[in-house]
Amino acid sequence: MTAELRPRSDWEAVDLGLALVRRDFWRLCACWWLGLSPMVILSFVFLRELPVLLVLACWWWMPVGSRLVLFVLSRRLFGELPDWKSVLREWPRACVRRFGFRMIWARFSPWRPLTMAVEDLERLRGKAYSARVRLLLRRGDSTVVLLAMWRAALTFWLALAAVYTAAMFLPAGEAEKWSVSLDEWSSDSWSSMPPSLAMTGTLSFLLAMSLVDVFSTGAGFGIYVNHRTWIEGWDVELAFRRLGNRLRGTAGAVLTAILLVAAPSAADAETTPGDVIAEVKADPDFTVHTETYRVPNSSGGSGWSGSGELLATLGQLVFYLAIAAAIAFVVWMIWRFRHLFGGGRAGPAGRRVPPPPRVVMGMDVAPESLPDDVPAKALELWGVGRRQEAMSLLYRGAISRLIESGGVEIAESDTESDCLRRVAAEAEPFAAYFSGLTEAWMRLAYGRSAPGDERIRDLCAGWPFALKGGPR
Amino acid sequence: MEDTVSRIDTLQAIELAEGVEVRLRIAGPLPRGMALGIDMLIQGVILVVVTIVLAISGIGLGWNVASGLIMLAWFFMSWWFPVFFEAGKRGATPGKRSMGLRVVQTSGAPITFGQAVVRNFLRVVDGMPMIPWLPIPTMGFGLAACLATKRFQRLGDLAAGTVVIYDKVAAEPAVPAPPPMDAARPLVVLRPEEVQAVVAFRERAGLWSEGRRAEIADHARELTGDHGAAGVSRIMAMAHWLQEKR
Repeated sequence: MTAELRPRSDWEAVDLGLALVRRDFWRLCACWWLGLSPMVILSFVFLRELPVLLVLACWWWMPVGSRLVLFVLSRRLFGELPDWKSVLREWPRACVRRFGFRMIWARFSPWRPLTMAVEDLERLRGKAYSARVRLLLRRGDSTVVLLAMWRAALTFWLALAAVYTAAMFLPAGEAEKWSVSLDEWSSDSWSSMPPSLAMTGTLSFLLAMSLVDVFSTGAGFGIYVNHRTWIEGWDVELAFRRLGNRLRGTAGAVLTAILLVAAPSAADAETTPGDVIAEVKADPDFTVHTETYRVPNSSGGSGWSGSGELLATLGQLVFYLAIAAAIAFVVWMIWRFRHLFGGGRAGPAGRRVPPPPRVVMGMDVAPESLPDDVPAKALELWGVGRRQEAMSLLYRGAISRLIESGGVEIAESDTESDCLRRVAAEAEPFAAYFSGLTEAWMRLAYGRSAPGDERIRDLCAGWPFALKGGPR
Repeated sequence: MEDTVSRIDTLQAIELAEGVEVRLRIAGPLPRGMALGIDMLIQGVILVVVTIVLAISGIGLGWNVASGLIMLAWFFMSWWFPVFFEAGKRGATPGKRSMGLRVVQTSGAPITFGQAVVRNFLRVVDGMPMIPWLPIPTMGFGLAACLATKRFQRLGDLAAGTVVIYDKVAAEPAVPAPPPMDAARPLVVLRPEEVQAVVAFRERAGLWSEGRRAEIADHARELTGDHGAAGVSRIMAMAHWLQEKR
């Protein structure tokens, strides 16, 4: 498997197909032209005077080229690149396989890039074929149909682009003739066309057809693989296979290790660490490259003297614009940092004090969210059996009071032990009580072991903070 | 054996600091072409409306002023319209947004203003060859560059160091997996990709037939130690354990 299989969206599947084609682009192109070669040779021999018919005949023969592309592409996906001999062996089969269906009945089918995979790779015919196609298209065929529209549009578009790329390189006299005949062009004026223009147009069309068909065959194959990944779980199957191989492998490896445990390892003695290091360092990644850049000196400007007046006006304009921008910037800065001028929050030393946090460890510690008498309320909750709530009220009440009146700076992101450390450092008198409370809280919150009634009563009785939150 | 071959993928892995890996879902030329078409339609409609309005107001403004303004509008529409949108917060023109695409740096970071300017001013180069009697770029060069580069970059993308990625992908229709009957711990230690496969089996099993499920599960016989339907339910139980109980 030489591509990553995973369930993709439809457009990503198309992209995967394009990437597959890009990898072997020249080989696939050669295969396509090989498939088309009989018709190209025939039509260039017999239909040289009628370029439209020539292009149509080649267009009709196109599925043979697509088949060879698909043949190489599908085998390449599974890791074996077919050699030219097998491509040549496939070639006559590609010309005749289901000729009536593919080349006549379903020649206009927009689903061709997808359905061709079913008939070529799965070798299904008749009822089995149509059932399989229906199943594959159950995931939706909007991308396939859009791809068909792209194919038609891009063929014309690229042919035009190729003609005009050629026109860019024309000598002047010939270009004149081309533009005159293009101006007077109508459907019945093929005979009056300059032969070089007719030939260029034909070749451009064939080139555009080959590019579009090679890439869109790849895109259709990408969609086919993706649909099968979705409805059959190819990627999971492969992963399970690898898993199975690994498990079988480890079972075998353990056995061989036991058998060979006495045998001395001769292989290791041959390569010394020095050799390995030298080998690694010889890698091109380790060579030091130096690049020198020279910055050209900017020479003093001159040659503007003629438009001095214009320059002066421009300079004035720029000057006023700069002043306006500066004023706008200052106003914006004032607006942005307006809280610095408010005065209310500014600390006594003029230092900016961050606003006290409202939430610590996911608990609401805003003073207005707490009852006035925290320990009484907690005791009440404990009495009716809502122990978790009681403890959490006690704990977050303590933190809130510490922030409010104890002057401890607790950040939103602090953990329990952070809080404990901060309290020990900044509010010594509360530290003993707070550490006992923290321990009880952590036991309940993380260890699910509730403290005894006695302990709670102690904690509530020993509440060291003022009952009502002090004013800021 | 298989791992030594470099595999083709449409995702592009980028390693960030500390070994974190993000994957960009690079978008190919076809959805981008459709986005371009939508953008050109929007630009055309706006320009036609602006031209008509300015031409009418030219009666009052004077013809020279009006034609000057029209030319300015053309200039800004054709050169600055995509720059303006791509340098913005969403990193996508209206057309790209409607196709679920977005422009980012090759490192996955949002693009800068300078990059937006470079990649959109080079649109002229990508648009070559022009059709003389229609002011329409054929985008032939851009398409060729797109198909020839590994990350589907056109010339402007290569110069600016940007890629176009799928920003959001429509959710796939999922068939709910059968509810797990019990959870079982895998008997061997699984590698991350194997855990992924086991979980994917459970999540996508609803899309497969019963026979197919058993067929896939049989490949992991070493893991389940069972055949057929019993193996399937063993894997389901393991997936349940891996997802919920671990």
